[in-house]
Amino acid sequence: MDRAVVRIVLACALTMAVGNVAGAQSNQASANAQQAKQKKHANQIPDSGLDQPEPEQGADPFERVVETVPVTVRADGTIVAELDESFMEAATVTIAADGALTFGHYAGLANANRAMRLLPARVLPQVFPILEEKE
Amino acid sequence: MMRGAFTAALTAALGLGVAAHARAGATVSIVNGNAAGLGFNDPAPRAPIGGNAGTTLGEQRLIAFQRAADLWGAAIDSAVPIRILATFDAQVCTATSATLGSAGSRFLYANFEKTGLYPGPVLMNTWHGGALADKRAGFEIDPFEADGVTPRADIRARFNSLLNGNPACLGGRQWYLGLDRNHGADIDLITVLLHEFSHGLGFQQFASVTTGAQIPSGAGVPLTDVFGVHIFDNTQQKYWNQMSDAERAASAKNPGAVVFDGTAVNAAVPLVLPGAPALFVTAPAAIAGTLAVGTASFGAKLTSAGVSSGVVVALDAANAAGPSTSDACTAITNTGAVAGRIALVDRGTCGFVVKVKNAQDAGAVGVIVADNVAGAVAGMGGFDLSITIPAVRITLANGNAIKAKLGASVLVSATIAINPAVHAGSDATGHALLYTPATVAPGSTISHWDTSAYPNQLMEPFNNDDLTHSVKPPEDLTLPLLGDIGWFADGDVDGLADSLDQCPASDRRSIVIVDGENTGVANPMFTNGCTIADLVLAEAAGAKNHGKFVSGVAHLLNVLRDAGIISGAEKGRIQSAAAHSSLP
Repeated sequence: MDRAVVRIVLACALTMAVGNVAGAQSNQASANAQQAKQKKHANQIPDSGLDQPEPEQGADPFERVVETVPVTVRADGTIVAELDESFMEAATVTIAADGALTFGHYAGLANANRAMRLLPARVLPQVFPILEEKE
Repeated sequence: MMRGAFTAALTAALGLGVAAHARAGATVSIVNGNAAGLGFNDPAPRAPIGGNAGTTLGEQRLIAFQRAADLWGAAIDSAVPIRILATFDAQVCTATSATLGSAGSRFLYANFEKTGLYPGPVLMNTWHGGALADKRAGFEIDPFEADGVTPRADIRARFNSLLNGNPACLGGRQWYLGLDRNHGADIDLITVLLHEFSHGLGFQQFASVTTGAQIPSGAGVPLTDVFGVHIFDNTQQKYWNQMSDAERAASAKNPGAVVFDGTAVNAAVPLVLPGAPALFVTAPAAIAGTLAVGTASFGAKLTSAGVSSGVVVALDAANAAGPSTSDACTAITNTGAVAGRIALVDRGTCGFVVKVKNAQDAGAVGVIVADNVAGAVAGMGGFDLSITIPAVRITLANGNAIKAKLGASVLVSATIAINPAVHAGSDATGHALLYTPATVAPGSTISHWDTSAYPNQLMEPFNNDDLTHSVKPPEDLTLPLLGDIGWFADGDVDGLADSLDQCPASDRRSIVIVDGENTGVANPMFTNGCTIADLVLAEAAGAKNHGKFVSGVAHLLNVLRDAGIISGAEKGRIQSAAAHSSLP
């Protein structure tokens, strides 16, 4: 190890470090204060709840509505958007006539459930094993 | 150069001496949101399966969820814990279709503050998913739920509890809760979770794909998101954050022309998406050429080097399992000819996995399945982890051409491999294609890779049987994408990206400890990502003997003292510890 190199690098680092060590501490203090402050803000963003049925969505089929997303601008400048279920990526599966699985995605569980309900009911010709075809 | 030399020496030193400060990762925890007796708390007894030691349905679900969370936790770095509020509850499931589940970020943040060396927002006025925002802030931006007590979850995940073997739901198919990917005909929960959690971590853009409208800020100004700034339309020659709503809406249905442009993804594309699968017929000259193939969802993935050998028709008995002697539906009879060769078999009667397994059992090194009807090439479905050789499917016409030569006792040689001249999943400039079908599919469009990718990718809109639970190269592009949107690698979670960090494996203990001796001196971090302890250890790495090390530390501490970072007394304590140590 070339200690001369260490010295030079260290000197460069210290040029900034003296201020920044203190700065980091200050930032941490600021962060702590920020967190304390956030506790109050938290009430502005309601929890979506546990074990609740998915919320009903707008009439636009299978799409999310971005314009009505609740957005809060906080005093420190932080902007927060609260996303509803339609912004979740929901996965679906259907069994094709040959038994193969076809996966898909929808904007949220409600849309996924609606799409699955709309699929025509049909008799399952054969489920096991998966047949040979897959396009 | 000096910085490089310093970093190299320091890294070497830390590698020798500070094993405890290895890659940190992230803590991703599952918050069980189910009520007693339901979902994750379902008491129905279950036998352990596929490495999942749970003994109830609920336990096994939770173990599988946590495994997926741990796989992500090992792949990304964050000093801030990531919480996934998860439930299993009843969603739609019929005999032939089902909603599997969903996940996503619960909150988006823009213009948030940061602490210490953490970089803060990727860009101002740009939405970040909650977990990503916390990582870049260096603290929980919103620590609690509305009750002011419960730690806030960053991601919400809801999965269908009805996939439990009930014949009325998907004909009895169910979640495979094993951890080993051996799901058979069932649906591998961990694969689906890895995919959905990835959306929650940020593999998602938030504008409407039908109108192009973006989520507005509180002032009504639409904001782009960290994913959208990387979406580039080759037709419009614009990124999504440069487009009008109408242009974004048009871009969302511009198949084969919209890519993700990010440094990490671009670098990974040649490794992860090396080209298109192909069959190279090398002899005889009359039929030599490159044939288009369909790929299999089982067996070995094709490589650039490929598998080369002579082609031999695999023969089996014509019987009830398969009326042809070339359908490979039963054990191969000409094993002496097939062993070490590429077996040619016909499509039909039995599943692809049966044919390929029989050929593998006969010693074939690869399999060509010739179609039994005219048409374009197509893929081969099925699942069997015991198949380890590659298999491809060719058209009826191409199969007949090969058989004609073999029938005339002409040697046919071929290579099953990747054709690097043809892009599969990337455009001509090597950028990974996003899924933008001509008809917009909300939920799928844009927020997934294009389905042309080979090998199949975790974040394609369709779950493929050949996925491996890997989220990073050489198998997968998901982790590079997350890196591009702001999930920078930070092995010591000090907030400074490893690429910028002169001490990427810092000793971040709060006190300077030299060779086990606690000096009681605070161990601050400098803007270059190094701590005092790192610098002391660097002296050890460069010293020829103990005396030189102690002398070097003395000089170092003088610099620190003169800069006002440590006091004279603190210098003495560190100096004393260095003298007592057995370093280097």
